[in-house]
Amino acid sequence: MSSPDKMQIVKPGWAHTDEKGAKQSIYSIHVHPLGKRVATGSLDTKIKVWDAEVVLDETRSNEETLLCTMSTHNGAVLCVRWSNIDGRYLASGSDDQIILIWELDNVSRDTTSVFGSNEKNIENWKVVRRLTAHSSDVAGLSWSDDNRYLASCGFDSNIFIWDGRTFDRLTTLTAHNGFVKGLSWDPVGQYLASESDDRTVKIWRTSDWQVETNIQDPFVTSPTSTFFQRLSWSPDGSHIACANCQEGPVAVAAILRRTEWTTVVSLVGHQSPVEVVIFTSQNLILFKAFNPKLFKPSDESSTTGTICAVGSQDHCISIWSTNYARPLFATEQIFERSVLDLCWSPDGHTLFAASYDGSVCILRFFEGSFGTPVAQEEKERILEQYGYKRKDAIIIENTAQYTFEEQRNIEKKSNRISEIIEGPQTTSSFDSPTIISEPHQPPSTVPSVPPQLPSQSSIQLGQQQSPNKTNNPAITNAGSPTSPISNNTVMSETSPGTGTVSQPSGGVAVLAGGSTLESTSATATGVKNLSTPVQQTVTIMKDGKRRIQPQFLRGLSPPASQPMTTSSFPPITAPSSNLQASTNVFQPSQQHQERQQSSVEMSQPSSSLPPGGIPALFVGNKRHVADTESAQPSSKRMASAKGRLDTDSRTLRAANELPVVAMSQVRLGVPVVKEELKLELVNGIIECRNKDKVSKITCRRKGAVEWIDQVNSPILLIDHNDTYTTFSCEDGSVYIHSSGGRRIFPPIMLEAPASFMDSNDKYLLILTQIGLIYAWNIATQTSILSGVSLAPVLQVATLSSNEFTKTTIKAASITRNGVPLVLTSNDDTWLYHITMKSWMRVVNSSYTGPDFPPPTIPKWKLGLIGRAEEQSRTRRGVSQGQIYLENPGVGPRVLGHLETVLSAAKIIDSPSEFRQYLFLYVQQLTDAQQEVKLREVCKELLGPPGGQRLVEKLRESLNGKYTKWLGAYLAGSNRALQRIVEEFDEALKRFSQPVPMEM
Amino acid sequence: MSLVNITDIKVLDNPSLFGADFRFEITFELIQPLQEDLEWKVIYVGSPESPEYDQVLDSIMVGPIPPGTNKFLFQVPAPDPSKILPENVLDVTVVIITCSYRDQEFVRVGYYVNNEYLDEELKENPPERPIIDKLYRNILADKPRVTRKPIKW
Repeated sequence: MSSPDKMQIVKPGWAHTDEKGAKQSIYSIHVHPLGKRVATGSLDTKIKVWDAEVVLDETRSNEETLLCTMSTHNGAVLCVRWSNIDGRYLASGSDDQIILIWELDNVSRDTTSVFGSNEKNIENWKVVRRLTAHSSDVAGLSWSDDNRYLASCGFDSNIFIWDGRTFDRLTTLTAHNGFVKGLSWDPVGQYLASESDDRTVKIWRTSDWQVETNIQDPFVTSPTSTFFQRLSWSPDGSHIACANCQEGPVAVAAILRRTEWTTVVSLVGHQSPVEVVIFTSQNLILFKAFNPKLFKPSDESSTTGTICAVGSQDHCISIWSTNYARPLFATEQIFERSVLDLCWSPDGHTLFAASYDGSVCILRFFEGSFGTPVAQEEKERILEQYGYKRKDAIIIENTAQYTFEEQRNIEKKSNRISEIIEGPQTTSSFDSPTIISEPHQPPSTVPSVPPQLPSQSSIQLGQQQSPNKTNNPAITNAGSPTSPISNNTVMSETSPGTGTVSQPSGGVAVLAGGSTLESTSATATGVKNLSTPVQQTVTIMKDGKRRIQPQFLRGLSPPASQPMTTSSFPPITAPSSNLQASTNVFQPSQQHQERQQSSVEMSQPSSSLPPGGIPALFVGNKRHVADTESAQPSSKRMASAKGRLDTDSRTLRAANELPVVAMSQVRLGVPVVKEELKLELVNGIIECRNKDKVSKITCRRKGAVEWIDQVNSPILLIDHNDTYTTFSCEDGSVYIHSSGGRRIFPPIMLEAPASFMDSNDKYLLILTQIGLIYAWNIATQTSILSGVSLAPVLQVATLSSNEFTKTTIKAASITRNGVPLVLTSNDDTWLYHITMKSWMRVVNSSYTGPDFPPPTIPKWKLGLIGRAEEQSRTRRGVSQGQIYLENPGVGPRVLGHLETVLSAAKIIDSPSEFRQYLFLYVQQLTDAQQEVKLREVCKELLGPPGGQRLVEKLRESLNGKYTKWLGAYLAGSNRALQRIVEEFDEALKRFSQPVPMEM
Repeated sequence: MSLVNITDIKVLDNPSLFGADFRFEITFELIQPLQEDLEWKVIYVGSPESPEYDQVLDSIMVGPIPPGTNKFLFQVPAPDPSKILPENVLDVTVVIITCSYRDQEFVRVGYYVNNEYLDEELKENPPERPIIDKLYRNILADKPRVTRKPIKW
């Protein structure tokens, strides 16, 4: 029956062999959607990825076809399936009951050897998820066509549905009463079909995960001795081919028709079962696979046909078409044992088959063997009759969208690059000025601590009892006043904040309290360095055992890769995405990007208690490791920001602590003294070299030195904008230079060094170590704020959170109209109302919880408040979802929140945001029929002459159409409010008369 | 399957004197956060006949470990020659690195070790009591044997 003129059989040497070279059964084979890679899963517990292009190209016969060997499973690998579309993931199921999700590791591109074996990997596929749920062998896996779901089935009779992006378990389907041995998704997306040893095929609805129908007829006499029952849904959605059916005593190939779910006895288009019987003989049909392509026959018959491959226990493969009464092809016995898995290549011309005998066979069909492939659009048209909706195919209509997408891609890349280059090496020089600092150490080896791990505190605890204390360079060098109170007390007070509590295993070291070594490579002194030194932290535990904190090399997956880093892996992978948001907030507009990065290493604030210390002090109010981390440059900023502060320089010491700091109730961390500070400008660089008591500033533009200055104290922070550059020194002095390098003022002297510094246009903001805020208008030489305490911001937050999560300041900035903003660690954003002389909370983190779904405003349109909210939300893992509008009457809390935001938008002068929120607010009021409030809003919008510039701006931006706009909302959604609309309209008309509104 | 996967072990200072410390640079991958530390051990097999002469050279705890790729240096003292039968000091034996979680061993990496004199004279006529100072140790670093065991994580 074979047609050698139209088909070629290739037997590649692909095999899974045991140590003696015997071939191990291959249970599963699957082709990557892009066609290059083929994965096989075998009895030998390994998964192998092969290069199909090489094996099918005779000219490349000398190239290696094995790309990767993955030996992580502990049991036979029963099923391997690539995700659809881009094939980003490979899912594997094994009889060790576990499903693994693999992803190509682009970080280590080099060929690597598999540890403990002779195999070399050309590509590195590594586990990114491990899904546990099955209590027995995982026999089948299937990705839905859009990758939205991954279904798994197994011998525990269960089917699990996983989210194809986050890999959260969504639901469990339990209606089967026997081993479930095959799964297939409906290409339309409405159903999932499963076949089980309980002699049924069940069709599940994806809308509610209930059984749509139960098909038993073809299986009444089916044996249950098959390995798999891999059924297949035709690409046009019209039929399902089931495995292991019996017609009386004879094995047949049952094809079920969609919606009726009845058996079309023979293969599609055939009326006589005889044909089927002949070609399947007495053997069971184990597996069927529909060709992914639809083909138009080359002869004149008009219908498109589907091609189906059938593998069976008789060791043969036959190929069927809906358009012909006989199989198109049937192979001789190409295997020695039964066929276990079949897969078509994406182009539909190559069929890969794997067998129990451990070999793989490739059937190549020449162009035209099946007719002409049908174009994707036509296939979709056919699917549409069953309700298929095309997704992910929205055509980009404007260039802006394209630009944003492109930007996103760049961000993603640079995120990755920065992670590779900078991520793991993040040094955390969190040396507390008074107590702890690195013990004697060669200067080039700042201990590197995994950035994600706030556990250094545990080590410090051990250290504090070590005799090294007196050698502490911070004390001897800096000569700062030592704390009057015992270090022990202080440390235990501060340690909860630094994360010991949240770090479960940190407790060991705390208990231990022996001597601590912190060295680059354990005892490497004197021994020749043969390889890159491992940077690890060694602690001696109570029982004398060493405990090593390993050097963190890199995380599981790149943080920017959208789905992978969400919810299910919160503690470790999440931060980086959060950071991004946090820096965004304090970057009010694109024009002000040329600003100092906040990537500044901070020392811990002084933890000495003031004389006569009161227990309720803000001793915990300092930056934690995690917070410093958040001050790292997010790569988003790196990509867009023009100014960048280079902090790679080595740390000289912690900044001196001025006596005033010890007296203060509020203490913040200050940057440590670096040997060198660099700030990259658009076309130049500002460098500061700190030496002893002086610091030399050099500004270069286009390679040439533009100006040089020297100041008498080490510089801790630099800030730069178009018109001036600001340097903050350790002794609390602040130097402001013009862009040409002139000192605009004599140095400003503050009582303590700056913790944060920010400038925006003509405004300069400084937050000092003792929590006082200063803001100036440099252009007019006036003070906006002078020594306003930050205590209210911290206090409220402290009271409202538990003791372990004391509030810290994460960022401070100033808006372009001179309003200071402060972001705290519990995601509240505060502004200082200059004329009211008080702190106001703009974004309350409790309003960004899950009950408060954010408005669906595209992220890039978010204003300052929006970004602050968004960030708060991101940190809580609340995803962007419905709009306020979709939840009418969420209640007074939402209204209250909107009112807060509206007024904040007015204060910081952000008309676009005011408009956005006004929109939402009016809608809410309308829904809730809040007539009184609404009237007030209208009045306020119209005047009376209160000098509401915002209203004017609003007017401008809407081209005076806001009657129409507001009216459409009010009248359109609630007739009871018609009258207001009318009044409003009339008032507006009067207003639109040439009477000047500006006051 | 294992949550911890050894991706590489570099044997440093190899070959070296018999009395020198063993130094292994171990790189491993963790795919899910662990509650507790990992315990690593190095065992020197003192006799091919009996486990009685096995010496645990050192055991350490490793943690906390962030998911991802991690690396540490495991330096352990050389075996005490007095606890090895003189006839077993020379020649081939095995050094084993094991890793356990919650007292369950899940991976074991074995290396062949060859102890010999470099001095031709001594090579030809090895003294009855081994001269430890002149004895060199060579680990067959490129041929690790890895045995994995499923455990409850």
